[in-house]
Amino acid sequence: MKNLFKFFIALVTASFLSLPTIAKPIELHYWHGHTGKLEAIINEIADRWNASQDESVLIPTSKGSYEDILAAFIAAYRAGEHPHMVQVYDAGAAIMVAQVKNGVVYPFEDMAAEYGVDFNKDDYIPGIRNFYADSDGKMIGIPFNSSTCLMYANMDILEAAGVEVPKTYEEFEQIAPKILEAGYTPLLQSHSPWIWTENFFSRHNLLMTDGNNGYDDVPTTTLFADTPEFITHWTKVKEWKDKGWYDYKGRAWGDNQAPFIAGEAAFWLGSAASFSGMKGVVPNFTVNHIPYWDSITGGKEYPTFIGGAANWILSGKSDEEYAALMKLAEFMTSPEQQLFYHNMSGYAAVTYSATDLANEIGFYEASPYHKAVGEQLSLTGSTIPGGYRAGNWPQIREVLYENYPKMLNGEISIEEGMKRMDEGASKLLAQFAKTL
Amino acid sequence: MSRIFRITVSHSILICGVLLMIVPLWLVFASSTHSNSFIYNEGMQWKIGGEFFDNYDRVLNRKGGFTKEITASGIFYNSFIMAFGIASLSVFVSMMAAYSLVYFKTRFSTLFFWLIFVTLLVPLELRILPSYQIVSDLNLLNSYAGLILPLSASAIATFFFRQYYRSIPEELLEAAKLDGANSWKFFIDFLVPLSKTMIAAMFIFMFVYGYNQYLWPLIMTTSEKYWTVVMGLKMIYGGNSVDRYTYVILSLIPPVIIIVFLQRLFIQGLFQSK
Amino acid sequence: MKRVQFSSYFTQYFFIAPQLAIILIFLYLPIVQTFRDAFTIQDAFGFGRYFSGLDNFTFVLSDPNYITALKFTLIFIVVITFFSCSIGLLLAVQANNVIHGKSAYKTLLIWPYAIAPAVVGVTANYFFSERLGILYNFFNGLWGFDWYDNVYDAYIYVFIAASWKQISANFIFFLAGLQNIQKSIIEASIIDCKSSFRRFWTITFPLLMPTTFFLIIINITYSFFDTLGIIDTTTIGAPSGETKTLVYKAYIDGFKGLDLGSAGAQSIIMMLIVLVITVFQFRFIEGKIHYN
Repeated sequence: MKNLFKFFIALVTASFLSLPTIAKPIELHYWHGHTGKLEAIINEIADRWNASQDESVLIPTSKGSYEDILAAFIAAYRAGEHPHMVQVYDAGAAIMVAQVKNGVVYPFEDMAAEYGVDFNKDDYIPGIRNFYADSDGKMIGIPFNSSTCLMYANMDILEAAGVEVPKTYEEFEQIAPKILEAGYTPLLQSHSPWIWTENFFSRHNLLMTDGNNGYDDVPTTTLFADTPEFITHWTKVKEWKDKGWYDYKGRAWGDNQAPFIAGEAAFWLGSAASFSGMKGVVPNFTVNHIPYWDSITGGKEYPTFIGGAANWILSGKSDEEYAALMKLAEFMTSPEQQLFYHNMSGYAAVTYSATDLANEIGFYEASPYHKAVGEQLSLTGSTIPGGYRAGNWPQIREVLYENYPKMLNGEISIEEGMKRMDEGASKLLAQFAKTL
Repeated sequence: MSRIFRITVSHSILICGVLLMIVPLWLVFASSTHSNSFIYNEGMQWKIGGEFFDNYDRVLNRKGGFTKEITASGIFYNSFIMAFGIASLSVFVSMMAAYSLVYFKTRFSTLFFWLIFVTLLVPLELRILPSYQIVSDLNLLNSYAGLILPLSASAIATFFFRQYYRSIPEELLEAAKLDGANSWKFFIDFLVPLSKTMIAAMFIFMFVYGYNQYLWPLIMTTSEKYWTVVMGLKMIYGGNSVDRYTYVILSLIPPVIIIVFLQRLFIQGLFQSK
Repeated sequence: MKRVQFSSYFTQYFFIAPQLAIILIFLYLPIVQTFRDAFTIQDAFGFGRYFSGLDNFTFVLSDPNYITALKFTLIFIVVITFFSCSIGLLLAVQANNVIHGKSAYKTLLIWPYAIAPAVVGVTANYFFSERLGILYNFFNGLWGFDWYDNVYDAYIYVFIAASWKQISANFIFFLAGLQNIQKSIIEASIIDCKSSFRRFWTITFPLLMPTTFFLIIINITYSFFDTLGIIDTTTIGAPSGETKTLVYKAYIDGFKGLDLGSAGAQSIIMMLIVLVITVFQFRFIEGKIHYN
């Protein structure tokens, strides 16, 4: 017993002695939500930064997933133990932008005005810049890993079935029977709330919530049941599923991607960043724009929303630290580092100078995979905002996830499902509005 | 019915039970000895493959995290410290608390018992954000003490010790009192030696509980130095590769060894409380 | 309570102090915080905070998905407890019967007890994934099993995943309970009652009652709380939220969805449910069962 007691005392003292001490170079803590290959790429960027100068040291820490990191950093913020910079994903953008007024988030543009050297706002690709900006267009987050949804195609299967990559869903309906006949699953898709909801609206230039997608007013409801085009789309998806043209493998991202990787499915709708994991694993694939309904847009192609995440600067740090952070931000968005990141991960380049550099060195000829993401994001002509500002969105995605399977297996009608999704979303939006 | 028939039935049922427990893990193990692409295309395997050494060597020695200092063995060490700390501390305090509850007259005994027992109803998952704040206020983030303390309040262990002490014959205390033992002496010289197997059983119980924690280490550590086994499953081996099969098997070894080697004490201890 | 006791207040408090200190700091303080959250509306960062009465509770209870989760949790508890208890008991009785190979059986049946729920979930996932999952394909061949689409198939998936490891725990406790029953009682009963089956239900099983009731508490808390890691690594609530337990829902809404008010309210509702169940159990155990 005495030994146990000593052990306990030793543990407590050890823990007090091991408190972090402030080292000479400024430590910049960066929490992110990437694991595996994508984490290794972030680590490589940090190594490059740390090797390039000795004023500050960047220490990246993975917190698991996008949801985990949001919870982890908020807990840390409330305890005053937050890092300097944190990666928060698209669905959390409204939460982060709303926190500027409470002094949690330090807007990137303000930091750039105070400490910036080479900051040029116009260099950022507008679609990417605006997604993480407030309604006046002020940049709040630093665009970093910007993806969008894309269509991966297995060219060997297409050849076997004697068909081409479709541009529209109408074309897909033409070729799907042939692919099925050749013995393959025609289509899979990995994230219904993101790809076939949020990006369905942007791809067809439709508003997803009232209040102009939340850019003009705090939104009170989603417009799912009020958008006939959206109902049509899901009615079609259900038809496809019944015919075997589309297969639903639950909500886990990887379960829907696995048949594509194994060469059992012709098309898979996923993220630009899925590229890094598939290169060299899937033999002969191409990366294409996501299809759209010709009948809805009248042949016009609209951009999708930006996906992935941005880096957000948190308040409560010293002048020296912000000065160092600004230098880091400039380093991370420098054309060379972005091109490295673009190439390794499949995420989009976020500035024009980076895409210019890519064109200059003939990058896209060498790697045509990388072209689609930038192209699709820089499409123009939309009349809707380049994003949505809706609080509690992570939970609203949960509501969507709970209704789509019911619509697909016929438990409820598509219309009923849309109605339920709107109701669920409205309640959550109202709950969020109470905290503003 | 003949005796031989009954014995045969018993053995058959037991063999079925054993297969139910062994076969799933056998498949994971056998799969962990094949190459990555083979498993990806063919699924789980019944037969052992030829990649055993390569796979286990790679997973054990791979350096993960930003610092490139995180290895599977380092992760096992952290989990071991965490589990050991939780087990020792909770056994220690529970034993004392149970002693106080059973062997002393007081109006507060029932209140204390319920205060402790109610903690069964509030697992860490439900109080994780407030707990984080408290651990941070105490400056215990990124420390073993922070990993251990919030999980050490075990009502189960207290409950077991209480049941056990209540089953000890009154004569023991009477005899001890006749010998002139005071409350301290009685605890240290009589109860502690008598509870040895119970201590072992509760230690194992809490060790397994601590070893298997996931959310708490994820939230309260920001330094890779403190990564634990179940976290590693997500942070390093989240992908669907053969490394994950290997890691699953490796992660089982420490708690299973403890259970297998101390099972006699474990069962005896539990049985004393009844 | 003991008839013979000590009466030193100082020693008594000294002995209970460490445990009380730990639970007061690391349990009751967070619980107080949870209660405050449950009655306030606030954003995730703690801003815009105001007292909201029972708003969070009505919000939670008017959510049809919450009722779905409540129903599922109750079914889940009953099924897990029933299957893991009965299989555990069956195996324990047989293990107690046999003479040869007793310790080998024990070892081989006990060890899954040590496996983390998240690891069990990952393993179950290998068996139930649609591509190449052995059990998925086996059941699919039998009746078109598809847990992505069908609620009952998803139930089967999580029930198997969650019961499997718990069989070991029940086995251990039942075996301990059986070994505790005095040989003389059993031997005496052999003379009175020839049928071993009837003997078990009339003599042995009643003597196992304390163990059984204790195990029911253990199994309830297990299926209520510890299965979070299993749900999170298997169905994630598939097909459409029907396999979310209450704890998993509180975790998703509160931890991942960052709604502390809702999470607080959900925690309190859960505490009440478990409290009612355990108080009932305790009355039962303490009142009806006699320890020797």
